[in-house]
Amino acid sequence: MTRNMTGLIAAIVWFATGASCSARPHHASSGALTLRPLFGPAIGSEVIAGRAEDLEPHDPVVLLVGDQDLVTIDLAARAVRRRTIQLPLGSTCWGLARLRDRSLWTLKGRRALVSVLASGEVQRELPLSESQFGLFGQGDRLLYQPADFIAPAPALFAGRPGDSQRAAWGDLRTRPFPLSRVSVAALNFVSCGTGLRAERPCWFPDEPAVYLVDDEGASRRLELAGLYRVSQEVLLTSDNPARPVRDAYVDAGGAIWVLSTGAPPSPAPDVLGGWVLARYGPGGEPMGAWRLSEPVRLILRAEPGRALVLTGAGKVAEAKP
Amino acid sequence: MVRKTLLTLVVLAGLVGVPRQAMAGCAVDLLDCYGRAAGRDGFWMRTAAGLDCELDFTDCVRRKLIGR
Repeated sequence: MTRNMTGLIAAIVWFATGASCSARPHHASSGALTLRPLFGPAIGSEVIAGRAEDLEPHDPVVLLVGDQDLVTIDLAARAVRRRTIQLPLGSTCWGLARLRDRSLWTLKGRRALVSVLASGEVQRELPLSESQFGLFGQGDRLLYQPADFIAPAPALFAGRPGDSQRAAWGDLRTRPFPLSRVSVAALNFVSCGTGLRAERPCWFPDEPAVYLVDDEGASRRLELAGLYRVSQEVLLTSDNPARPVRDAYVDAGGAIWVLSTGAPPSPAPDVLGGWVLARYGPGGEPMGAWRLSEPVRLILRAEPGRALVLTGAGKVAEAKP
Repeated sequence: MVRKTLLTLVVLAGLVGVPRQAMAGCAVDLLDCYGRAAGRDGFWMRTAAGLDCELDFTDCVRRKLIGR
């Protein structure tokens, strides 16, 4: 066999095995965990585009779902309420931020900021001077992620609603990659979860890691052992990307609950969500990882010993490792 | 015989290597948008339109990549 044919076969074998290996997700090691359904469904199969910060541990959870719907989930009362944000048909909203004064804010398109009530009524609409990819709340300031294709750069900028200028906030920075501009931007999307102590967890879509960010923006990065890191190519080209971190929540005891895509069963149901729930100590030390009986989309609340989650079917369920 | 075997391997490798449900929607939309941007009058209009295409693409990808 010629050297060229040998090289071609080797390349084919590498491509075939490399592509499938990079797509293989991680298997939980602490055993299976059966979810106990409590109530719902609270949402359908639409995208969860934002989650308002919890100012008090037992605040109802408020989600932005689809393009412009607010869903309020009262876990204590086991009640769900859905309202449509009163914007023109075809408007697309992203992100949901709650400030200390309990006001709710969302991005309308990329260049407008809108204040809404839980009823869906629009209170204020403010133009933004630059396009924004993301929005979060921090005290009396909004945290913006600008639509910036340049990396490395500060990831988040802070300002009060209506401020014309925003200052770089914290030490979270976007990462450079030898990829196209849009791929670099996509891999640097910031997501943030809920933290009941002084720090909240934030993460990038490609990393099995969280950044614990305090109220002033200082962050510490924790590698999360046991979560599989998928290749950037798989992440950017999949319709339902296998993300190492889909959601994260720091409970009152400082434990970090992480929802990860993991390995779906075969055949896999066509439902959104992650199949692995993992827990880590405040320093990132593994405390267990469990394979879920059904996919989960969001950690609604976590306390030492159990988590309330939103399943792929849109129901509220209890996970008790 | 060797050529047929190699061709079979290439086809199989292609099927294995394609990511499941590739994000054709966002990428196709981007290409269509670039095409429309290229038809705009003036360099700066074309450039601005191209940047808008990239922003629209990242919006599309954002829902799939970090939507929960």
